[in-house]
Amino acid sequence: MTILARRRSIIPGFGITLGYTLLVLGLVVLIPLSAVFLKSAGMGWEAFADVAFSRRAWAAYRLSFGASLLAASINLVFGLTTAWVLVRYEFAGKRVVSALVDLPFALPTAVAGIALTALYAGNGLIGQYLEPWGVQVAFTPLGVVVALVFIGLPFVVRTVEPVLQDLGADVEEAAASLGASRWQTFGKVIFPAILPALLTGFALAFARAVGEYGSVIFIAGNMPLESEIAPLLIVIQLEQYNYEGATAIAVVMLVASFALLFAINLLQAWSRRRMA
Amino acid sequence: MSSSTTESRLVRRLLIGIALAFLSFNLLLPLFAVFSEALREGWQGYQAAIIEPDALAAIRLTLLAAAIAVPFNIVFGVCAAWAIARFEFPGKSLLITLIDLPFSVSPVIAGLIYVLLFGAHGWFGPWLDEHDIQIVFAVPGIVLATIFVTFPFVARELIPLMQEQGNDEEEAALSLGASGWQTFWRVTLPNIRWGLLYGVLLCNARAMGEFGAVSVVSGHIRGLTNTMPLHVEILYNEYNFIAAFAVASLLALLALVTLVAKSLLEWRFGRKAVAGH
Amino acid sequence: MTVSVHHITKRFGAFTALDDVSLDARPGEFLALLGPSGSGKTTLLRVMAGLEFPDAGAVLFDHVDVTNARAAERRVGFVFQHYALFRHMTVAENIAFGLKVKKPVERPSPEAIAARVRDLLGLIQLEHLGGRYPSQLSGGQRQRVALARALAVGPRVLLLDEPFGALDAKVRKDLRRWLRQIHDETGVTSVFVTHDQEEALELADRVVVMNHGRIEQVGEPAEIYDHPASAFVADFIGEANRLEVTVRHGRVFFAGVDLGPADGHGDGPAILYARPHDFVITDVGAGAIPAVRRSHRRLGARHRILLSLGDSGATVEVETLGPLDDGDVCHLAIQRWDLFPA
Repeated sequence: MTILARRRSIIPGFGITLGYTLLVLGLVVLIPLSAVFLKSAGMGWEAFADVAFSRRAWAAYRLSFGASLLAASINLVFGLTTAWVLVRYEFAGKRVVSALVDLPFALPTAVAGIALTALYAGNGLIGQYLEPWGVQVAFTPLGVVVALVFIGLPFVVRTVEPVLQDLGADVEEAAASLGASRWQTFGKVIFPAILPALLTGFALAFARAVGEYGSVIFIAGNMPLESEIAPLLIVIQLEQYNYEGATAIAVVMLVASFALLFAINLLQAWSRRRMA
Repeated sequence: MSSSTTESRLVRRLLIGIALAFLSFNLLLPLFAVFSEALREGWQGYQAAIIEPDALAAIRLTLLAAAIAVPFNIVFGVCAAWAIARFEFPGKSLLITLIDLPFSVSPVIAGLIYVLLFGAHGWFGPWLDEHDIQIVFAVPGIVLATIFVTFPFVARELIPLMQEQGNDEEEAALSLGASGWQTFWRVTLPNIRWGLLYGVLLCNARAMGEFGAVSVVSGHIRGLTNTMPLHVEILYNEYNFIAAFAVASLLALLALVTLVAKSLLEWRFGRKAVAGH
Repeated sequence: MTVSVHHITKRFGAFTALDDVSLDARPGEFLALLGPSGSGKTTLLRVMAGLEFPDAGAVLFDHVDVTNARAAERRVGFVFQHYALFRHMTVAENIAFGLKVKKPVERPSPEAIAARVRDLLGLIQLEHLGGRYPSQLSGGQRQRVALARALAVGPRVLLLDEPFGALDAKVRKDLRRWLRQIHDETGVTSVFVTHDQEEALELADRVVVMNHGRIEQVGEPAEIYDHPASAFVADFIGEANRLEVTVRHGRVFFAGVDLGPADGHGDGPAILYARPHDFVITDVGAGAIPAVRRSHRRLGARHRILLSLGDSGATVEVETLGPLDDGDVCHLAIQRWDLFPA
């Protein structure tokens, strides 16, 4: 195939650039990742299941996936609202707001983690108003959701924004001229058109949240069975030099991540077909 | 947008209000908290926390890791984009997916894989031990983990950009007698420089701010293997909040600079962020 | 239904798109809005549809003021230049859309909707493509679906914005005839925007020529062609030779040659427009302009000969005029012309 590609193009460098790409990809990403699977394969099913599906691990998965699902859902609603407002309306400071949306991409997760903890702790800027109502956010599973909402927002906004932008005004005008109310136009014309992008953004936010560590560990209570996320469980196993245990949990997480990645790719293919 | 395809003024105001309230709570307040906590006891305490030797060591290590990881990923990203955007070959979309893979892996697992390879009980552990080379719980491990988590940034900015630009200009240069290198330096690079800068910006922000992956491979040795985010964690866990937020505020400043530079690039060149960073 | 616009003015910032425009589309009429880009024709159509609202003036449907009614309330059928089909709906779903969004009390039963969609698919000759998505259709097919979708709600008026603008020449011609046929069958008042005069002259009952946000002339195609009301119309419609002439004592002079009576034009400089087929070769004598043949070109079956007139520097393009070679000298007379103030 190398020869084929060379023959079709007069541009040089195919062999060397592709070769270097594959070499580095293999050394930095693929071989190290495969180490996880090879290591766990050597464990035997019993030993693997003992750690990977222990009561504590199940609780951690439940929290990681449950909180991620909840956070991604919240971001679905507010991310769509934000994208809509940024694309459709004019208001003072719009450019600043638009830049700010990317803050979670740029702000180190540990910084986000301690800042959110400071805000939501019982004596914090927000926590002090929640405390009297008996609502505890910091050091509870609710805190995990707060942190995951923070890091997930830009995924939804930045996926939906371009699709909303490309949606021709004439399609909405067509709906209006056919007698559709604004709500009907949104529900039957706009929403179905942006649905694939919306789901993609949701899946990206969810996938990121499931693996998130830095922003969560400060605000979560990290109590086993209660407020301990799956990535933290891996770290705890490592700190106890239980490499096999860490690997087993990592395999479960990786399989889930890859399944999500596969789903995201399908969604994006669907989205492209829709917009064709 | 014509008047028949927008909402009533009330609905518009309401939606803008909801979005702004949510963003203020979710983004602005945490940012504000970092700086207000850092300056809680005035400028003096802030300064002291930053010029303290361990903090300076952490800053140096963070800069060092970024200074190695970013150029490494620039070379990789340009090579990958060249191969993928300029040539047709089977398995191309699989290759793009594989390059993006590190984004879907939990940072903790990104650290774990290097422990499994180079740790004392890892595949190469005994061999490394024999030759007295330390990778995990030392600087090389931190650099490796940083490279892993920032791996896709440059490539994923350049691939769509170069695909969009097509081969015309390169072919013109080559037909005029330019060599491959000359074509790259004089034609390709000037065309992709802003996209490259954009990717580098995001790559650098993540490299300096990475926490989970680095935390697993670092060993947390004060003054030796602590990066800035790790130093923040240690200070925080020691209840030294002022110092923790002071160092965190430096990272927050870096984030703000990144956002401003990114917006300027987008504003000048009409580029939009690719979701999924 | 009669669609009337009275003294419509519409501005976009500093740009005046429509400047005090008044017009009636008569019941069952096929009316063309013709003009160069930026002449305001699309804006006028969108004002009729309720997609834009005028800064001044009124829109009346059968003498009822609908100026402030939104598009959704006007029951107009609008066909967009780029079709604006809903990508995520099949052809049948697209056509049914206007019926399905009606209020429950007005909405036909699902069976009635399905029957209506079937009828319309038959009308646009795409019976077998109801289950396809727009992306699976050709441009011409998409525009037919867009038309069926607009017709489904039983519109009081059909408004078409450059309906053939995005199609290639062959498809345009077929679709043009077909559209006229559909119009004659349904009898719905139709207004369409075009910048293609051939399309307007062939298709429309009456043509509205627009320029710079104003109406230059309204009339039947033959009238517009034969009796242009302004220099712009004479220039814009068909091919015309433009000559700078002088009116003296009620007669038209070009380069010293007396061409004939000025029909009431005042003395002074004037502009004369004459079609290529209005020139004939003549003997030396009254009204004969000395000319030299310069070149010849062929447009399909027609021929055009370029001549320079005397030593005035002016040139004209005329239809074939007997056996002449490049460089030959002859005399031309103009049989018909239109005269406008300079």
